[in-house]
Parts: sequence; C-alpha cells; structure tokens
Amino acid sequence: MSARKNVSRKDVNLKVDMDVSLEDIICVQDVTNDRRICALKIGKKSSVLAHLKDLQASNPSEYNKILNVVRLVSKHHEIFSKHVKQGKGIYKGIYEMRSGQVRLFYFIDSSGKAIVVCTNLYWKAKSSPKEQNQAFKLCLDLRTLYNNTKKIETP
Amino acid sequence: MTKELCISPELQAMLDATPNTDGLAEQIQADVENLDSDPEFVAEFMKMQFVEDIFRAMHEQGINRNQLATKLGKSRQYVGRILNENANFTLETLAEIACALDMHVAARLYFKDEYMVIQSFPNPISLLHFPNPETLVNQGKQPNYTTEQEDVSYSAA
Repeated sequence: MSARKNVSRKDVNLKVDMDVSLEDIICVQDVTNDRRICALKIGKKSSVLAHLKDLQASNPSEYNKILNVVRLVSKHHEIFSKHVKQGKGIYKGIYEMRSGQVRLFYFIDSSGKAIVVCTNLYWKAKSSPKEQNQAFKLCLDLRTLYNNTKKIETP
Repeated sequence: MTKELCISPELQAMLDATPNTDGLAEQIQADVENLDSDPEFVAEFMKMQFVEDIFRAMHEQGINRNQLATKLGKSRQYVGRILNENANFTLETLAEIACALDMHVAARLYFKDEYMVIQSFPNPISLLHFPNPETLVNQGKQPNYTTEQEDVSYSAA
C-alpha cells in the first residue's frame, strides 16, 4: 500500500491564492434559453474550456455533438432523453452530458438562478472505468470548492 | 478578488495540467458561429430536440415505449430507433408521432431575428389587442377586426 493512502484528504489539502469564477459559454447563449451555461474557472484556468478547445481540434464531429447537447441543456430545466444522466450515491447532483464518446460533467448552482456550471470533460474512448469515476469525483470536488467560495465573480 | 482556497491534490494536478484559458471562450465563440450554417449540425439538434419532446410527452402522459409503439402501430424496435435518434426522421415520421401523442408539430422557416422574437414571448397572440367579441355584442356592436393589410403594426411587434 502506498504511503499516500494512509494520509487523510484533509492532511494533504493545499492552499493556493486563486479566484473561482464563472465564464459564460457564449456560443450556446441566446434569449430563448431557460438556463445559463457557464464554465468554472480557477484563477485563469478552466479545464472544461481547455478540453473543449482540444476536442474541437482533434475530433470536430464529437465536438459538434457535445455542443448540441449543451444547447439542449440550456433550453430545458429537465432532460428526459439519453443525453443527460445524474450520478448515483455520493454523486447525486452531479450530472453528465453524454454524446458519442464524450462526457461533460456539470452541477447546478444552488442559488436558484438556473446556472449550469460545467467543470470537466471526459473522453470515454480513451479512458478506463476508474478514470470515469475520477471524473465524477473531480466534478464533486469542484462543486465543493465552488460552494465553499464566498465570492464568486459572475460575468 | 483573490482568495486563499483549499484544494485537493487531484484538483491541483488538474490545474497543473490545464493551460491558461483566458480568452478561450471568445475563440470558441468565433469558431462556432458558422456552425448554425452547417445543415448537419442544425439537423442533429432538431432531431435531439424532437426526441427530447417525445420523452417529455411520454413522461407527462405516463406512457412507455410499448404503449407508444401500439399508438403508432409500429414495432417496439422502431420506437427504440426513434428514441435513440437512429431512425430516419421524415416529415411523415414527425406527423405520425405528433398525432399518436395528440400533439401539434410545426416545421417552419424563420429568419434568425424573427425566431428570437417569437421564442421570447411564450404567447405572442396575447400581445395582439383584438376587441373582445362578447363586450362588443353587449354594446350592440358587430365585431370588426382589423386585417393584416389594414394594420401592419402587428407584424412589427
């Protein structure tokens, strides 16, 4: 067993000087939307925006598909089709947009302002089931971080 | 405003692997502006939206795939293909499903600005100030509605 497993999560938490903010994914915004779609940014970095840009360059077809799902999510408060699934157990409240091989993870802002906060992206074809769980966990961690942050700058 | 945050090693690793994304949202916006002119992209969204509407209607009416198949007079496999967005959607398909679910379906062409205005108002007809026929009859008058040719201000709304 590695030494790291014996260390509690609290003990290994790191402190950094960074700001948590939201950036609109404006390519899917219009006045007919029911919900606002945002990417979570920590400091000047947004994992989901970086992955979307990579995906656009490497696989435009998958990129177009996931963008359509993002649009669908922006237009409805609840999705019934196969394109959105909610996590189970501890991951309840964590959602994934599903299209082809791409999974885009998000949670709903608890302020009641209908803000969808996209956190990270996962490519099913290239990853293992363990990595899929890690993607859920990462989104959960980011939600905790977001909720714990008092000052969220909204554009 | 900068704030000191506690983050897990996994998040730290993610941040380390993520490049600076300042201005990336604008770049993505510029890249995808042309997507709305791509028929394949537009058709895919229409299909996705239509299937979502079917699921919503099934949910509200409390019917399952088997019951929908019975209403349509088709096989369960056919309904499965529709709901998985693998079927070939024709206008006849849309009409059949709409009728089976006792719903209306519309396939119209709009200018982009016009579509935005229509979608902005849930019930645009309520904005038109037609005289109430019952009021007029009570006043001993005949209802006299203005036509589109006589008053074009409605179309501007």
